[in-house]
Amino acid sequence: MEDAMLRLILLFPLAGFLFNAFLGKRAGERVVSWVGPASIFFSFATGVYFMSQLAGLGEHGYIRDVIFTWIASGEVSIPFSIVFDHLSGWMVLVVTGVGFLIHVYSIGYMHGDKGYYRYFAYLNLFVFMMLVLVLGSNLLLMFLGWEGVGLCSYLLIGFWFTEEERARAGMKAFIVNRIGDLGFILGIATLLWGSAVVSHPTVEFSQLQAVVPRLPEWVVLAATLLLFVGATGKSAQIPLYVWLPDAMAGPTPVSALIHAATMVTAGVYMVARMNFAYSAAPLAMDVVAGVGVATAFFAATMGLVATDIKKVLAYSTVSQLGYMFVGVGVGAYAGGMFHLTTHAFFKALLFLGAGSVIHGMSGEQDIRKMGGLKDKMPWTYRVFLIEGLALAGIPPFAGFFSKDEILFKAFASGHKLIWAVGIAAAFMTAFYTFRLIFLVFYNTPRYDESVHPHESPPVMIIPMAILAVLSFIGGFVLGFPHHSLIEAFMEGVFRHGVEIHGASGLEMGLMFLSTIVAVAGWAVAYRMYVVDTTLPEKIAQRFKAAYALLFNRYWVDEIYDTLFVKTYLGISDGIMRYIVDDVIIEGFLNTAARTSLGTGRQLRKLQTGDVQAYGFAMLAGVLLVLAYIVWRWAT
Amino acid sequence: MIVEWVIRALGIIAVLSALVAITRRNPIYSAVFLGLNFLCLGGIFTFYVSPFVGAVQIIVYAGAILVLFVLAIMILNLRDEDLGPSRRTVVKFFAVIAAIGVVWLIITITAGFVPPGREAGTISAAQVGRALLEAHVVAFEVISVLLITAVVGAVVLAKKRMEV
Amino acid sequence: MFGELIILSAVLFAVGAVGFLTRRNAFVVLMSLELMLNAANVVFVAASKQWGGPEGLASVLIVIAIAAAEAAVALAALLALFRVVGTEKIDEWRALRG
Repeated sequence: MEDAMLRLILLFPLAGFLFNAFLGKRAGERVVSWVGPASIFFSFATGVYFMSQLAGLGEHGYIRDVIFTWIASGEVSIPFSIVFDHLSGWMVLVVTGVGFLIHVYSIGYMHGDKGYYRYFAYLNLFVFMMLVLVLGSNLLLMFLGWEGVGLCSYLLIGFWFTEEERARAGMKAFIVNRIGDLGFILGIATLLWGSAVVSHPTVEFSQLQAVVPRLPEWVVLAATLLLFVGATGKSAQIPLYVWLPDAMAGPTPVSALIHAATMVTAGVYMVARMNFAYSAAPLAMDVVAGVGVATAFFAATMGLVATDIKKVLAYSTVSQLGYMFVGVGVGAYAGGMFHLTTHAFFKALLFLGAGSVIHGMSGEQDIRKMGGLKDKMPWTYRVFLIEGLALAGIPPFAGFFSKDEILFKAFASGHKLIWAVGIAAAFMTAFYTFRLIFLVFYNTPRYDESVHPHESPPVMIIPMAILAVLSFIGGFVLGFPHHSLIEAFMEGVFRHGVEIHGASGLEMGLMFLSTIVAVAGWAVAYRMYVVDTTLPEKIAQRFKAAYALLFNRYWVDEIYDTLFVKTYLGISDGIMRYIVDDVIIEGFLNTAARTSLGTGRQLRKLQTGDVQAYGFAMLAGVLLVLAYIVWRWAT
Repeated sequence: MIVEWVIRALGIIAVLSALVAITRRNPIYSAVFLGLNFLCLGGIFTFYVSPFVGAVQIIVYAGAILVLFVLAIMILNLRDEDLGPSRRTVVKFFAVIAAIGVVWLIITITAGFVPPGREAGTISAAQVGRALLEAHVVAFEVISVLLITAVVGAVVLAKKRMEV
Repeated sequence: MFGELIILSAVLFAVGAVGFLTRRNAFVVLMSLELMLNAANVVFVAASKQWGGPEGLASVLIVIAIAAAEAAVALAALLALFRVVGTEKIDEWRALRG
């Protein structure tokens, strides 16, 4: 179905961006506080309207809006068109829904900031770009959004750019993502080339679906792997996850929206969107699942010892994204999307909660300097606890159902090793979550007496409460085992997903096991951080090497720095000095300059500056031309 | 027949006045003889083909351009001692040789050239106007741009003391 | 008649050229330029008659317009230059010598 109204979803945030960017400064904080969130809310409302339209179109139904022809070059014609189907529609609701709540929260969090309007302009632009990414009907449009959200991410990480460290973090995120984006571009190019060979060049999802089965297997494998390289950058997977912990330098609502709920899940969405291609390349699927589970595990280990409240959550996000990739990697696309959704709820909320804590603690982020905040910030504590339970995977909270869905699908589809590692990561997840909660909210305060923790204003608490409700009920409403709403909803999109019927006994068993693991994580954390608070220190002393390894995050940043950054700088420095300087500048350029200088020095003697001498030359020319004519006449 | 002889006479006067004009030491005399040259050419145009173009030739050249020259010369108001020696003889010699060469070559070229013999009587101003405003209207409009540019340029150049 | 006018034109052009090349006074040099432009006009007029069309005469008008514009700008430039350099001797204006 075609509907030109669909573009309204994009236009509202765009209009919000334009207003805030160009008039926001003059309009003042009050107006910006209305325009920013309202533009996202209208977009959300439009999304809900089209969702209801979609319901009447059957499971393969979609709504399309071709806005204009974006690129027309020879045989290649790429429209700027957006498609609202069961998958992209779902993402639209998640992005605009969570996005709206975070916009509202930001009103309180960013209150009084000098760059208030700039912040909302970026945030609106981000939502616009994210919607382009999600709704784009072809890979290139997705890439446009992909780059656009990367840009906003960069701008917002470095929002307080006057501090060098924060500006650097933004730069790091941008550069690391660039590496992934190169893979993405190459992936698009591979598909464009492949489709041109077998029929006509296209990057339209709907047409690729018909083209992919006709492509040689290695082409599909290459394309999907290259696209996945892009996903590892944007979704912070091994080996390109290093930017996300640093990205916490941005304002906390940004971490919640971009670096937890939406942008970082773009890679998962991309794999789900390209499911037809990934299903045609089993090896690529295994790579996705393998990288996912490895990331889930290693990020969780790093989360165990992190001391910055936001870094704990950042590693947790990396780890949970790993789960999502396990989900899409074993063919449980709906499961991956399910976890994406619940994660958007509870991780966004965790960040908002962390933001509330930081706000109340006047900017303190080190959890070793917190403690006992339970009574000072009761509401924040409550929502944080719900989120923690959801993240840790305690039933009946949302994270339990979605994570378990993925682990069960992995087990049932025969990826038993992945399942085992995933369970181990789940244990650590529960442990670090409760470690965080206990350290922040329990025991005696460890902060300075100068700090007076206070509860946040309602404009921050209410969005948190809504998200808390969502992450409490979201799990069993959307994805109750065997009655999964989300799976049924997206059935038309994921024709290639794994089908697992029966085996409910096995599923029950695995669920029970996960619950035990989660509770065990809680119990260990309780023992170490509430009952006997000297225990962590002792353990760290005992396993000094392991602790150092984790605390320094496996020295990955340092290794990258030596291996890539320093090498690169060395090489480019060498090229600059020995090739550019010595050969090109000294050699070519100086020679050329000397030659032209010398030639000019000789030639300028011809220039007498005497007009009449030039007249003579002209007359001589006239004579020559006339003489030539006479000579031609004669012969 | 009479007309042809008149034209020939005017042509001879034109050449002579031109020769005089370029050899006078005082530019005022040069201007006067140049004016005579313009008048002769205007006469030739008038008798040969078009009184209109002849009139324009006399009005613009003799009336406007030459007055401009005289005015400029008067403004500078050069005295006799400023009119230093002329160029070296060798320069003059080569210039004259080259000029004679040009004349000889042109005559050689055109001597073997037989033009179409559709001689018209006179060409009216209306015909000229039509040619300018129909077929060559772009050139006509460009000329207007050129003139306004020249006006502006002349004002700018002459008005202010240039800083070097 | 046509051939004779061509010769007249050639001679006028040659006289103008000699004036342009040999005179040191900038005014006379400019006048020589006008002479050469007029030589071109003579050809146009002659050709117009010979070919029986008005195009040649239209060209004459255009040449006259250009000559007027040129004279105005050139004289203005000359006056300005004279103010700076203090001489109208064209061979002494050699600031552009290489």
